[in-house]
Amino acid sequence: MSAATKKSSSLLDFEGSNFLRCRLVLATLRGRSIRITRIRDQDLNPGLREYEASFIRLMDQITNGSRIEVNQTGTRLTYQPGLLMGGKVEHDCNLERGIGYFLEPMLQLAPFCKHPLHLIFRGVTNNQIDPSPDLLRLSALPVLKRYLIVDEGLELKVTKRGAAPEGGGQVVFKCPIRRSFRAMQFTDMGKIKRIRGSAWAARVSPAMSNRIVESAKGVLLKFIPDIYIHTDSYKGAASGKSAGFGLVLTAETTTGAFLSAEVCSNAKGKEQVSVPEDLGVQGAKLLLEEIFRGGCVDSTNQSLMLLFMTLSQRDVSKLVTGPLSNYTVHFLRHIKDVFELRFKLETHESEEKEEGLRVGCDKVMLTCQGSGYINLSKRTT
Amino acid sequence: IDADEETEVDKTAWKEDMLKQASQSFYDRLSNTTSLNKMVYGQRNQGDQDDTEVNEDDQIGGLFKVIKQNQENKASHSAVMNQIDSTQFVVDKLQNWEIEEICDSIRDCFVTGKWKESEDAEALLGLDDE
Repeated sequence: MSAATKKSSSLLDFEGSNFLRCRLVLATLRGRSIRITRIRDQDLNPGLREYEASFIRLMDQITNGSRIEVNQTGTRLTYQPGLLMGGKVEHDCNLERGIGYFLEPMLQLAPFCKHPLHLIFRGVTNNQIDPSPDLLRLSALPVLKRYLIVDEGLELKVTKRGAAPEGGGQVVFKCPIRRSFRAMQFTDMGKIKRIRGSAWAARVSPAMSNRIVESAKGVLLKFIPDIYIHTDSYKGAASGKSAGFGLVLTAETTTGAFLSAEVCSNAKGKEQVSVPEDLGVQGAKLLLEEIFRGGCVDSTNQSLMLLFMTLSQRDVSKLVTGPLSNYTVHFLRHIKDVFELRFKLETHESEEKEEGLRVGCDKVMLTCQGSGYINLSKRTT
Repeated sequence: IDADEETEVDKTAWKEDMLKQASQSFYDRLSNTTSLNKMVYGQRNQGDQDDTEVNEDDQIGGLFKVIKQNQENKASHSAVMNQIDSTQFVVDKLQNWEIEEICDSIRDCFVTGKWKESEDAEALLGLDDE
């Protein structure tokens, strides 16, 4: 799509504001300079947004020697990646986006830093467009664990809740480092054995979370009896600055795949106030939709797993997912641009399908040969 | 009144059917081998084509086609170019999970559903408990 990639020069060209995070992440891992032009150039308010600037500052913090230049209107950006340092980093995330926006690319980079990453994020933990830290803990960490093999030192914790719009939440993320990743084949999704979740409420009556749980369970119990949703109500300093409530659900399968979905109440100041019962039902239905799509990773984490497959040793990696999300489609194109690596994409012909089992929609099989990435900053001992 | 109710039911059934088909074809496009490859890598080749000047063959023989491709490409390109950067899987409309038939479509995703023949359900459940 976007890119008029010029293979002759070392500078990769992209256009538009979208996919900024994945471009910077891929450029950093590949060690290639990129240039992004036409960032909202047709917009009344052109150029980079505050939250994007905030993300760029974060990239600058975890790397050493990066050079980032933005022109005066903010419509053009050049990025020359430095070394991934990691270590302890504190960052105040811009409140326009959730902490999940900043956390997702950090999950992708963390294993390849020089020092184990210890991040402290402050900002909005829950909103309606970004995955919450809870969702990432439930479904992205299992993907990371799969590659880290030993998960000692891996941690993601919400220490303070902070709903949109004013935030006030705090999240701690720690991740160990690795020299390289083994190629992996994950093609059996298994069967869902239990559903777990948590309903949270901050600055509202704790009864809200109970009401969410009741209604969500009402929908899900028709499918499986093993459901446990715990309730979290935050008080005092740990409850952030805005009122809100929400629900995260995850379905765990027999082969260790995690499919998750979440909902969050409308932010204060929007015309409609969310009703906990409706929200609970909505959350449950979103999980059912995710189960219908299925796959060994859920739609939010497709790109995370695909990146690790790209970086792993020069062996064949295979993954079965549900239908690819729009983000993933573009992520794959960016991988092709930056790593010159193409995935083989095909409809997965599973035994289940042949035997006529009712397992939702068609799945996708993605195959690639890893690029053999090695984290040179990690000392071999 | 009875007849009215019947037509009412007919109407909704017809609507549901259409919705179901819509969501099915939406997902099909995102999991079908040919359309996926075209979506991820295919359009890209067309994109390359419009960057490198239109070559002579196209200008004479397939002029009409080339222009159409470019327009399509540009439209989809500019639509997505400055969108919000989010990993969320956006679905226009959820399937109606109130309907038994749709709920049944994922029954065998759960351990309580039917297992494929090569997997002995009893044995696996036994392992699970350990």
